[in-house]
Amino acid sequence: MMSSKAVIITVVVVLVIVLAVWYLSYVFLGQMQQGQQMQTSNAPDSTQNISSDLNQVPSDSTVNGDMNTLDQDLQNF
Amino acid sequence: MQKIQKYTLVATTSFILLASAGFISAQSTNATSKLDNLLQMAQQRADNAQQRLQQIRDDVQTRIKDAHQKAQEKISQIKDKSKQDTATRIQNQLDHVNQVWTDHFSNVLDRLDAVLQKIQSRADKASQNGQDVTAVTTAIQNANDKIAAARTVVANQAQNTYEVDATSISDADSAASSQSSLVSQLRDQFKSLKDQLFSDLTGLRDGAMKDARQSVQDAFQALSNVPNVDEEPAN
Repeated sequence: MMSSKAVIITVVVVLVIVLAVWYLSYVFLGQMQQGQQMQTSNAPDSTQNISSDLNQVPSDSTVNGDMNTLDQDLQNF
Repeated sequence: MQKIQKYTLVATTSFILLASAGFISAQSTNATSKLDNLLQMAQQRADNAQQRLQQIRDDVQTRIKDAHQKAQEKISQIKDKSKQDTATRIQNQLDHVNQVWTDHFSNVLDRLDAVLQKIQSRADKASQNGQDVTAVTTAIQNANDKIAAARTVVANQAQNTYEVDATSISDADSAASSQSSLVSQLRDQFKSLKDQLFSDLTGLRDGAMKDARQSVQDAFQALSNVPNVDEEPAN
C-alpha cells in the first residue's frame, strides 16, 4: 500500500500542477485578448477593413465599355 | 505500487495539459468561426444566384434559338461583307452586353452581401460589449431586403431578350434599293433594341442596384456611429 506521506506528496504535486496550468492559461488568454484589442485594425470585421471592402466593390463604370462598343458598331452600320 | 503512483501522476498531468490546450484553442477560435459561418452563408447565396442566372440563360438560349437564326438569315442577305459582319456583331453584342451587365450586378450584390456579413459580425461583437446596436440591426435588415430585391430584378433582367424580329423585315435581292431597304430596316430594329437594352440596364443600375449599395452604406454608417465599435469582446 502507498504510504500516507506519498499520498500527500502526490496530491500536493497534482494540485500545484493544476493551479499552475490554469494560471498560465488565463495569463496566456489575457495576453491574447489584449493582443486582439491592439490588433483590432487587422480584424476582418474592423470598421477600417469594412470601409476598405466597401470601396473595393466594383463601380458600374467598369461595364460601360461594352455599351460603347455597341454604340460604335451601330454608328458604323 | 510506486510505479502505479507514477503512472497515475503522469496520466493526470497529461490530461490536465490536454484539457487546458483544448480550452484555450476553443476560446481563441470562437470569434473567428462566427464570421466564417456568416461569410460561408453569403458565399452560398452567391453560388445559388450564379446557378440561377446560368439556368435562366440556358432557358433563354433555347427560347431565342429560332428567332436568332431567322435574324441571321436576313443578315446574310446583305451583300456588303463589312456591313454583314457588323450586323452579326451587333446582334451578338446585344445579348452579350446584357450578360456582362447582369453578371456585373450579380457580382456587386455578392460583394455587398459579404460586406454586410462583416457589419453583422462587428455589430454582434459591439452588442456583446454592451453597446446599443438597434439602429445597426434595423439597417442590416433593410440592406438584406434590398440585396434580395435587387437579386430578383437582376434575374428578371437576365430573362429579357433583345432579338431582331425577322418576320417584319422583307427579303432582299441584290438590287441596290432592296439592299438599302434591308440595311435600313435592320438598323432601325438594332437601334430600337439597343435603346430598350440601355433603358432596362440603366433603370436597374439607378434603381434596385443603387438602393442595395446605399442600404449597405447606411448600415456601415450606423455601425460607425456605435461607440468603441472596434473593441473585441472579452470572451
